[in-house]
Amino acid sequence: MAKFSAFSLAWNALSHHRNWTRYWQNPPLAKKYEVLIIGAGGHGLATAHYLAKNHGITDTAVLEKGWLGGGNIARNTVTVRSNYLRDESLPFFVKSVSLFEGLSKDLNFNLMYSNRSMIDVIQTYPKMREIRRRMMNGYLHGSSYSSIDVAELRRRVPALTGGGPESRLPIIGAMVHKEAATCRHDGVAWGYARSASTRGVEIHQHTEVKNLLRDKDGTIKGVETNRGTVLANKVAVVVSGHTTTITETAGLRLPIKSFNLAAFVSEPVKPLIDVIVNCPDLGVYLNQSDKGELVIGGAPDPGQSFRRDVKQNVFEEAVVTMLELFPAFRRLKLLRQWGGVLDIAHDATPIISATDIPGLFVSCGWWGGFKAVPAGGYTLAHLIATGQPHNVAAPFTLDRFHHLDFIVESGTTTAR
Amino acid sequence: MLILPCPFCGQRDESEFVNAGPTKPSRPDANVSDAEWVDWLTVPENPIGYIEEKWWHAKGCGKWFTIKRHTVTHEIVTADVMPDDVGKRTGETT
Ligand SMILES: Cc1cc2nc3c(=O)[nH]c(=O)nc-3n(C[C@H](O)[C@H](O)[C@H](O)COP(=O)(O)OP(=O)(O)OC[C@H]3O[C@@H](n4cnc5c(N)ncnc54)[C@H](O)[C@@H]3O)c2cc1C
Ligand SMILES: [Zn+2]
Repeated sequence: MAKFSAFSLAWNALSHHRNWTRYWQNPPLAKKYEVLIIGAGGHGLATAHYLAKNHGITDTAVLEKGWLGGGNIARNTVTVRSNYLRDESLPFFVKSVSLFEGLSKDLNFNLMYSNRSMIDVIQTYPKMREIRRRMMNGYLHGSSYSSIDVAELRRRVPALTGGGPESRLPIIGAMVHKEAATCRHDGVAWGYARSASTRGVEIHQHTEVKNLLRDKDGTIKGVETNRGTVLANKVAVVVSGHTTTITETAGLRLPIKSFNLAAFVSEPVKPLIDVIVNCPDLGVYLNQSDKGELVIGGAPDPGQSFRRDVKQNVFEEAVVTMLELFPAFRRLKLLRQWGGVLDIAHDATPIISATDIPGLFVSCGWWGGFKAVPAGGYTLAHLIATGQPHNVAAPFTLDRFHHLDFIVESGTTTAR
Repeated sequence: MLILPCPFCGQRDESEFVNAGPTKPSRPDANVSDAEWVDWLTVPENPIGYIEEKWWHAKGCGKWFTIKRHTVTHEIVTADVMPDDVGKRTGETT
């Protein structure tokens, strides 16, 4: 793999950029691997990278039904943050943010990581109480979350002219999470894929897993795909919102539901908002991309869904509530909208776990799981390689449901 | 735009309703195994296909009702029976 550097950029400019090498190889599909990872999204590719880098396991194939990085990794609003509530969640997300901070270097891939703070705009007292609880717990675990008054909020976000004393829900305060960042989401998928492929991992696109295969003794044996049977000693299901469609084929029932979450972007405008603004009482959040577009997300479609578009209803509600706080945005033209299928666990905490089927692992419940890609991959690789959960992900196993030991997490969703 | 069939008001826009999640079989009796009880408590149906779910006409007549809706096409098949007694409803799957 050619190393990316200022020198390689200049060198390749001499040949009009025609000689760059491919990011990843396309070898033929073998009959058997040590590890199969189903899903070439952020989590699957990160797992492959850390399996190779941290544990020396390279006899791995990542199977993807569509194209690499075409799932939710390409559909999210790129917010990275660690301001969760629970003692069990905070160390994990703090770890993920710290891995993100060093990731461009680790992957030798410019992820345009932009540390820019997130400001939560608070309009109700129950939200204020919930968020103060998160603040106090954040301090214990090294995740900063501090309150500012309305005047300071308006100084930092001048476009926020709504929510005054006469409005339906006057703004009563705000919270700043300094570690929050945005970064180039496709780059995360491509960077991990390039690194894994260089270390010998195979990535097979357009390879859809239809069924999990089990041995007579019940252990996992491999998978059935549209390109034939592939055997493996260990199989990890890392397919985001489609987890149950695969685990059901082996009779494994999981405490998760799938929903549609959507986002949209405006036409590009001059630099206007330099932080991520989140309005949890209204259920809308936004940031401005490097191109100048406002990237806007709302609340999920309330009923279970496997659609990847946005419902008119959900879209209108996000726009209407946004205009309450940012009335000037009335004049913005919206350019594109899209959705993705995400799964969320019974207690809104992710699941990184072995299962009742020996050799089968799942990583799911990734609502808001872009921020979790580095730590999710890191800890799943650890679990696959050693058979033991990594300490920052140890609370995320399926055991917690067996013991009714839920980790009810209010920090999972930004919107509400 | 999703139009929902309220048994009292007829076809109304989704914005008037609150989704109350998928239906559940009734609470199992006390002598089921721990595993069965945890399954009942935490594991919902999550099909690509029809799901039986409850809705509440919160900004309308206030009625609760059950429909079957497809999780990809949103096509709605109204259940044969539409009991408004949510607690008494027994689902068909465990
Ligand atoms: C609109 C929106 C906004 C979001 N905003 C944020 C945000 O601001 N911050 C944040 O942290 N998170 C956010 N998220 C969530 C985040 O995108 C997801 O949690 C995360 O991307 C999921 O993990 P992944 O990248 O591995 O998933 P994916 O990229 O979805 O990867 C799963 C892959 O599995 C493949 N697959 C599925 N079935 C099969 C099969 N049978 N065989 C083979 N392959 C299969 C899929 O094609 C897909 O490529 C957002 C999501 C959406 C939709
Ligand atoms: Zn009604």
